[in-house]
Amino acid sequence: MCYTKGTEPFFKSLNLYMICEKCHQQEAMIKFTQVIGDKKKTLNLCTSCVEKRGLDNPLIDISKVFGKIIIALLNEHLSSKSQQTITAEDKKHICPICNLSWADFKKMGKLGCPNCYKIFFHKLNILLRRIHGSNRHLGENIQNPKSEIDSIRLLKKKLKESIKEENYELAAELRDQIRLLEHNRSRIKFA
Amino acid sequence: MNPVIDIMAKKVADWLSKDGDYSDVIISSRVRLARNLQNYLFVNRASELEQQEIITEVLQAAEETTRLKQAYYFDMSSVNSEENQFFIERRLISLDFSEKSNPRGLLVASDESAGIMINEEDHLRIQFLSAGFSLKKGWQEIHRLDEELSKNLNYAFSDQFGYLTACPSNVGTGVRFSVFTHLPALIYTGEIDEVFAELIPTGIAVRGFYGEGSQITGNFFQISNQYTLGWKEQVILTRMEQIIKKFIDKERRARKRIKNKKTIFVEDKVDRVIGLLMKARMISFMEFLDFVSTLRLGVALGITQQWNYKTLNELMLISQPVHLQKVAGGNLSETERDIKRASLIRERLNLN
Repeated sequence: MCYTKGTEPFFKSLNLYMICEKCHQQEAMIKFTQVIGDKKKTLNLCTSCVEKRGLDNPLIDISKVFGKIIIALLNEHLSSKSQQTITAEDKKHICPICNLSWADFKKMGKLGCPNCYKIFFHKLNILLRRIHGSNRHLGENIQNPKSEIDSIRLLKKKLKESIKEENYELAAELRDQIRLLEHNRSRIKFA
Repeated sequence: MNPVIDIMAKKVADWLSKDGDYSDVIISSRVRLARNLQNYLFVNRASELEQQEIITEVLQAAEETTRLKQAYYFDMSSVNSEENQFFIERRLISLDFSEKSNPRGLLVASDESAGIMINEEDHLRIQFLSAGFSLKKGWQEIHRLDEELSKNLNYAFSDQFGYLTACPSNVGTGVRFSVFTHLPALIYTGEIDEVFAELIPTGIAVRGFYGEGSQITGNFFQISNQYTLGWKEQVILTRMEQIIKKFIDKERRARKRIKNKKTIFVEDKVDRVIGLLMKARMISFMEFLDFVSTLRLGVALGITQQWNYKTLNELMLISQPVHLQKVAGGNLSETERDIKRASLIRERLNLN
């Protein structure tokens, strides 16, 4: 929207304005909607009261203010979902393939490799339910028996490396994972 | 500058040159898929060498597809900042992708409909762009491309979680449907934030002009799905279509109300903008977006007969900073660009 100085704002010309609900003096130019939990509150505010709430001068660009309101609402929505603290246990829970800890994930919001989905299975199950409202894929499926074999191959490679580096703790963990995967595979085969 | 970019700059992308369905409200539609390869760490953990290998694997697989066997390829590490900006203006890459420095590649079909960002947040971000409200067509196209790619790529997939992605917010289908919309009447009548507030619990996101992390300008918005897990792609698509149709409906009704009751006010506003465009010597791009928004509303209400959406869409593309430099054929300062923009607009809209 554009305004040259001296022209009346479009809202006003449409007769949609009312008196500001905060200062009760100036005309309300902005409809401010807040969503807290499941309650919605709408305030009709004037330019200076909106500015006092920390927004830019809305008459320069009203759409920017709407943008900010929406972003503020979204952030509120997201932060209420993901308030987290990092525990000592989070730091110890590590994916052996990419070395990402659950603490790292909490900080960055990104996983390190496909295997992370196996390592952090239970935690992700809870998290995904919160993000998507579900933790089960129902969409397109690919028949990909190769992928299991590949991750076993990748784990075996890591196992060799860890033995070479004399990191026996990691090696033991990797060995358990390989056993588990191979066990699952054979079970599927003979079922 | 890269000669291929010069060729691209001379023509208008397919998705902008056509008047699609519901083009009075929806400018374009985009479908994207997030995919990763099973044998590699995700991009944020993979070494530079591994990332190079990923690029090679993706390029080989793309050569076997109908859509991308004859595509343009750009090695993003040898692309300068101006070219980067060109791709953003063209809507071929994300802001995030343009700011990274790891080994990245961009594949684009010559009509600019299909493309792949390689090593963005995920190994592959496959996208399909089309004119107007055309998410269904976009889904069919991208699904075919994805199937062709998967014959030669070993995607990271689990039965429980579906396609595995670096960020859990994309896991499952990895699909994001989005439309680029123009909603001036909902803004003018003040209904917009109520409409958006209703959307938040339905898992729909609203973003600015250049997508994620960008500002909302000139009444243009991008609307997309947030949930990617727990639903079939078809179900997500149908739900998005329903919600967007509701938007279109509300916007059109608001336009009708304005037209019936306030025609003179809109006419006044449109004519003021035309007057400004005829006389202004310098126009910034952000300023122009606001003008275009008003002109589009004028077209929608039948106030201005001399232009159509296609002309205005094209003008919106070529008046962006890097595109303007292409037209001018050289580097321009910000002031020179604003002058050039003002004269280009007069020329294209026959306002001289």
